[in-house]
Amino acid sequence: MKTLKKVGFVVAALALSLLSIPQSKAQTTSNAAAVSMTFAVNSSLTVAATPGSIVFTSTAPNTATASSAITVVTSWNLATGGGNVFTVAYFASISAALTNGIVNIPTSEVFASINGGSAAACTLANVNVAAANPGAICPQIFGGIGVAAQGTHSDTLLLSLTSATAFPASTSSYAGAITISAQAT
Amino acid sequence: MKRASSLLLPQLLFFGLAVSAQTISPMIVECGKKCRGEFSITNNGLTPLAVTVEARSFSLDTLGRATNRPLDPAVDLKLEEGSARISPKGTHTFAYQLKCADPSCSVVLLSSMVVGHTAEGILVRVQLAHTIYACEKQKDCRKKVRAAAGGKVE
Repeated sequence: MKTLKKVGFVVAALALSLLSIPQSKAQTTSNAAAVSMTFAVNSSLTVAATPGSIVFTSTAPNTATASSAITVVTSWNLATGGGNVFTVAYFASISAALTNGIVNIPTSEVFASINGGSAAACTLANVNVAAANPGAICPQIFGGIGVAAQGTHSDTLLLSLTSATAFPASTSSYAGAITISAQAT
Repeated sequence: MKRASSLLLPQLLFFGLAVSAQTISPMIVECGKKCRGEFSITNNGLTPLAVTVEARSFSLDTLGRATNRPLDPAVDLKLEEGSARISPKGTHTFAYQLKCADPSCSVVLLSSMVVGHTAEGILVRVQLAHTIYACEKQKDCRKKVRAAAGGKVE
């Protein structure tokens, strides 16, 4: 019994001695770890064209207007300012901007008005860009020379058809595609 | 008739009003006589997008405007893919290898894409350019090409 008491006393003393260790001795210190972070942002160019398609309505036997203007929004994020950004519209074929499979409507009969300006035929050859087909290019939509590093430009492109003679009546519709092309140089 | 028009209307709204908004990144790169590169096309729309890529050489005028032409014989370009289908909100990366046998080569990779289709009127196609300037030395290649064209160099 005495031995048991002694053992109990020793255990209690040890427990108390453990509690009496200063807290500062239990702390550890570590070196500050540096975490490197990288964030790469590439240059980018975005073009939004709305709507995705338009239809023409005859206003006279030899004229037609588009169902709506095409809104073209060009946005860019360059590494530095001072670059050039161009947006143009063109057709793949000079002789057949639209076709019903038999009769073609050439680009000389397709007119484009940019931002409400006067309409001009899509027959330009000297306007910049892309795969542009000389002789099938519409007036330039946007020409940003020495632009700021980041920017957005909104433009409208209203197409119309005008021919010297009446458009031939057709059981099948006239259809075609216009390309809105953007390039930074 | 009523049923047909009720089916046609959503189609017209979906395809006719679809926003063709696409992004290319990076849009300009500089490289040495031999280089490997890549660019990404992001489909910001809600419909799948078919993309085709074609290559052109180009020259700059004094205003920095590009006039494109078929690829020069001095350019050896290997494009890993010529087309792809990109899911809505998806991104696709096109890789290429380019060798330039001239002191400098200016090449543009044109990605064309179209949303929907039309049997009447005009379909709007969007085309975005990835512009590559290749010189003996990569550094300041674009500046050199622009300066050689008589353009303002920032």
